[in-house]
Order: sequence, then structure tokens, then C-alpha cells
Amino acid sequence: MTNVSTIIGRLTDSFGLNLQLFGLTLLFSLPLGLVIALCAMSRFRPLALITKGFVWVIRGTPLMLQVIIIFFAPGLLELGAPWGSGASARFTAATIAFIINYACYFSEIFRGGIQGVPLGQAEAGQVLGMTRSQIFFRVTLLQVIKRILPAMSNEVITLIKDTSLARIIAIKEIIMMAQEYTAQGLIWPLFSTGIFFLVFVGLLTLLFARMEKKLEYFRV
Amino acid sequence: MPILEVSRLSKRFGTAEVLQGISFTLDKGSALAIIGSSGSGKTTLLRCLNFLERPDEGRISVEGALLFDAADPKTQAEKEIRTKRLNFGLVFQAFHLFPQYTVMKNITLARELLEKARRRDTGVIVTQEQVEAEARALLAQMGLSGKEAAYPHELSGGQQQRVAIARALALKPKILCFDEPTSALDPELTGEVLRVVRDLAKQKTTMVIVTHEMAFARDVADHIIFMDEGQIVEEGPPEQVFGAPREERTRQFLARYANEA
Amino acid sequence: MQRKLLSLLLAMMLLAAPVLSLSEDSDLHYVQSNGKLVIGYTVYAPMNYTDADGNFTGFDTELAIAVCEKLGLAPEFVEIVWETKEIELAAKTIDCIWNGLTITDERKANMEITMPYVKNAQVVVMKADAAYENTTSLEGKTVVAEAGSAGETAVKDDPGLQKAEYIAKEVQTACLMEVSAGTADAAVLDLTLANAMIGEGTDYAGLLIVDRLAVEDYGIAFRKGSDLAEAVNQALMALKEEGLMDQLAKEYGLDLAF
Repeated sequence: MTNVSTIIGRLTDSFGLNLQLFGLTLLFSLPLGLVIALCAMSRFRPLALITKGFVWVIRGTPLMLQVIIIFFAPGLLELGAPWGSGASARFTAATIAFIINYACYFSEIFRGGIQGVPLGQAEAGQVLGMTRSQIFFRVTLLQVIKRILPAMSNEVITLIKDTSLARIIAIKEIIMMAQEYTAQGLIWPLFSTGIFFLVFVGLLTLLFARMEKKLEYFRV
Repeated sequence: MPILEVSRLSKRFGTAEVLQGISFTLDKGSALAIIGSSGSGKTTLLRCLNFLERPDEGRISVEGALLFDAADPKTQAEKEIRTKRLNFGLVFQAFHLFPQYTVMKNITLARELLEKARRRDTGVIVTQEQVEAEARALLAQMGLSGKEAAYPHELSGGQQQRVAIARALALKPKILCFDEPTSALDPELTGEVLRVVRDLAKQKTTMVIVTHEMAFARDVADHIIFMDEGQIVEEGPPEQVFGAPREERTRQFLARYANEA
Repeated sequence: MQRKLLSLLLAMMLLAAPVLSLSEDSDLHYVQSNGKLVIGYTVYAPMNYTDADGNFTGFDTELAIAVCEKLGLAPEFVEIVWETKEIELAAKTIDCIWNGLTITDERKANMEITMPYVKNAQVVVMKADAAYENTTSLEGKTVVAEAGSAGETAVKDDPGLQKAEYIAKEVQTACLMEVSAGTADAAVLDLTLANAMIGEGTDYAGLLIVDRLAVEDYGIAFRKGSDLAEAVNQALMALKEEGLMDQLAKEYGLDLAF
């Protein structure tokens, strides 16, 4: 029988994959989400419409399906192997699918946050001779962040749990690893994965509470 | 020569003609009060002067230099409009202070950014100490010494509006515009703001004031414009417009206000 | 619109796959030029699994390594998800499914499958203290099997089990959890898997194999039309003659099909 510490060790290692996917997704989807939000709000109508259509497709289809399509479509359509080969190929494909998916969700939160800042703030910046980017970065951005923090905290917590969807293309994240033991007749590893998620979500919750506290010094 | 010349300014929103051929001039060091009922176009006129709205027709000149000509797209380039705006300052009805910055930073932020750009372009150095010293002097003038480190939400409406006036003055505009500066305030707080504006008038600050405070307008302004339905109905010195209005519409408007007061 | 777009995309993926893979001249040349055979598997004792010492082993693992040696290819094991195995094959993210795959007519129509190499049965697993005589004992009881598995087919083909309340599960292993938890009365699954999962020292020590249903064969699946299947058949026969197949079958407790 496999011993407990080995199993916990392997579960911990595989949770590293969940964390990597989580980290990379956040790192790239946050800026990409901002770009998508700005495109969706563009005064150039075709760009805004195409962006909104794209966001609709991504938000309107399951992430699991997107992961499958991004990983398999190039091979099925004989486009070669853009993701490379082996386990890293699967991880690359999943990361890209996650980044696109989460960027679209973030973009909608950003859009709501940006549009929620009173127009007067931007106008006050304008009459003070500030440039568009100065207004965005010096005036609007922090107010947007304060407004969207609760919604972002929700999405980010969902993200860590969503990372286990990557197992659909056989990325050996923690739940898939645990299922290997289920297949050998051991049930407890599967249930114990919940503890990993719980602990991490606990840390995230504390982090977001701290950030919210940090921004409590002003009101919007 | 007048410091501000507005000629035949028109603005439409859809089919609504909000401004119809507005022309007037303003002398340096004088205060102009624009009165009129809601929807008469006075706020739109102010927003046009500050390039927050783009007029469909007409021209705006400051100190003899053409700033805007609806017929000449060259005068409407985004980058230039930004510098042209600096001829004007605008105090909003709802203050629009930046909530995340202290009173001090609210006043100095735009100035710091401008000085940074100026240093890059011309090499002229204005130190942070200098900018802050000027801000402190403005705050003292507004009766707000000691509030430098406060955040907007910690201040009363009247205090916020006075910070907003200091913020506008920090950029040393040639013409300072007020858009109903006391309309968002509780009645007991209007006095402190009006007092500050009155002081500015005494110091010969060139001002355009859109207001509903008739007594204040009569007291502080050198010249009154009465607007109705996008047109200037009557203008002249306060004694004339308030004391002996020539137009029937002006008389009706003032009578309504007298009844309310 | 959204649904149309998706189904269009999926249809494109599935239609393009066989057409395009047929246009490939030889699958054998393809893997030879890669120098490796990418073997898709799922963790499935005793076919492919990691032992207590952390070594990746199993009947299929050892057999695949031996066959690859004969073919001059380096084996590359890639863990896959069973539900998407056909897509993996078509998308060339793997070259074969070598993982105790039951040969069915449906699968033969869609993939190139080797000759049978191991015999398997679908078995009924229940709690040790449950009353069971034959499949009619399960009338009105709850029976679980993996969706789309040979176990599900066995349930649907058996007159007794047809009268049971059938619930399809995502994976075979979850079926045992249901029986163990009492949420289902019986599970129908692979003999090889059941052998590995229940009994002494497992969380399913209280479960028992009470019946054997359909007997079936395992094969190795390649892309439709692939000449690799025949090459692997030759290698399997050579290994049988060398005695390796019998040795492995004995070691892992399996019945050979030839």
C-alpha cells in the first residue's frame, strides 16, 4: 500500500500545477482584460462590436470546451503542433485558454468599474489640462480598482478552483492526481484535495481583505 | 481689447438647438454673471468655453488669439485643445475633487504634471516646494489652512468647493469659470463659497459665473447676461438688468425669482 | 447562433480529422520519422500505473516498451483523459491508445485496432453481504457503470439488468464509490480493474465480485487506416513466441487472448 506521506507529497506537487496555472493566468489576463475592456469601450464602432462579440463567445461557452478546442483544434485541422509536445504542450494550451477566458471575464468587470466612475472625474482632469493617459492612470484607475475589488476577489477565488478543469486535457493537477488513487481503491486523497483549495482560498480572502482595507482611506 | 471674445456660437444636441448664435465679450479683470432658467443653455456655454463640448458653429478668441473656429478643423486638434483649455479654469457644480488624493495633492497634481512636461520641453524648473507653497497660499486664501492632509470625504461640501476653486486657480487660468458653484450645497454652506468668489472679484480675477443666486450676481458681477432658450435675451450692467430690465422675458424670470426668495 | 457556431466548429474538427489522417501516406513512416511512439494511457491498474516505489509500470506499460523496442521506436507515455481518447488520436497528440481498450464494433469502425491480446470480462460488484443469485436479483435496484463503457453495454444487453435502475457515471472508479457509499446497489465494470481495486488493503475491502457478464477482448487502437496496427500485431506474435507475453500475463494476473 502506498504510504500517506508519499500521497500527500504527490498531491502537493500536483497542486503546484494548479498554482502555476493560477499565477500565469492572473499575470496575463489582468492586462489583457484591460485591453479588451478598452477595446469594447472604443469609440471606433467596429472594434467595439468585434470585441463585444468575442467576449460574448468566450463568456457564453464553457471553459472546459475552450480548453479542449485550444489544445486539440490545431492537430485536428492539420495546423501542426503549435503547443509543442509532451506535458508542457498541454500546460501551454490550458494556460492560453485560461488567459483568454479570464481576460474576457475581467474585461467586463473592468468595463463596469470604469463606467462606474463619474464622468465628472475625467472632465475635472480634462479642464486641468491632463492627457487621456494621465487621467486614466492618475485619476480613474485607483477609483476603478476600489470599485471592482469585491468582484475581482470573487473571480480570483473561482479561478483557483477552475484550474482543476485543466484535467480535461490530462494535466495532472491535484484532482486528477487524487483520482489516480481513487482508481486504486483509495478515496481519501480525493476528499483531501479540498483542504488544499480551502487553505489557498483562505489566503486569497485575507489578501483581498487587506487590499480593501488599504483602499479604505478614501471614498468613491 | 477684451480678453475673451465669443462670436456666433451654436451647439445642437440631436435636434435640440441648445445654443443659437451666442456672441459676447469679456474685459480683463471683470466678472460676468450668466443667469437664466434651467435648460437655457448657460451650462453648455460654459462647457463649450472649456472644450468639454465642441460647438457646431462659431469662434472663441482669448487675448486676440483665435482658439477655436468651428469652420477650421486645424483649431480642433486634440493635443492643442489640451493647452488651449489652460486659458480657462472651471469650477463644477458637484466639485469633482479626486477622492483618492489629499487636499494638497488635489491642488498640485495637474500643476506637477504640467511642470514635468515643461521641464522636458523648455528646461524651466519649478520645484515641488514652490508648487506646494503656492498651493498652501491658495488654501489660506480659501480659508482652509490646516486642511492640506485631509481627504475630500472628510470635508463639508462648502470646503470641498473651496478646494475645487483652489485647484482651478493653481493653474493660473486667464479666465475662471463657475458652473452654479453653490447649487449642490446646503443653504447654510453657500455663504462661505460666495465669499471666496466675491474676494476673487475684488482682486480683479476675470470670471464667468453661471449662477442661480441673483443677489450674489447683482453684487459681484460687472456685467450680466440673461439667457433663455439658447439665446442671449438681454445683457448689461447689473443695475440695468436687475433694476430696469428692458425685455419682458427678463422681467418674468426675475419676478419668478423674487417670488421664490 | 452561439450553438450553431460551436457545433460547426466541433463538426469541422471531427470531419477534418479522419479525412486528413487518411491523406497521410503511412502512419508507420510518420512515427518512424518522429523516432518515437506516443502512447496514450490513463492510470489503470494493472495495465498502466505507478507502483509503491514510484515506478511507472503495469502489463501494458511493459508490453508497450517491449513492442517499441522491436519496432525501433522510443516509447513516450502520455497520460490522457479517457473521454477524449479518440480526439487525442485524431489530433495526433498521441499515436495510439494502449490502455486495456475493449474491442467493440463501434471502435473498430472508427479506429484501427490490433488483434485481441488480453481477455477481459465485465463483472458485477456488490457489497459482500448483499443477496445475489443472478442478474434478475437486481430488478428495481440501482446499478451504475461508466458512461459509454463496455460495462454500460453489458447492462443494456442483459435482460435482468435492463429492469434495474441504471445510472451512468463519469468514470469506472466512481462506480465503486457509489456501491461502497450505498448510493447504488451494484456496479458493472472491468474485471481487471475490479481485481485491482477491491479486496484486502483497499478502501473497498467490503466489496465482492458476484458475477461475470460479457467476456471481451482488449486491443490497441491506432488512427483509422494506420499501418501501425499490423506492425504491432507482428511484434506481439514475436513476443508471444519469445515467452514474454505469458510471463507478463502471469505477473499481472491476466488471461491472454492468443
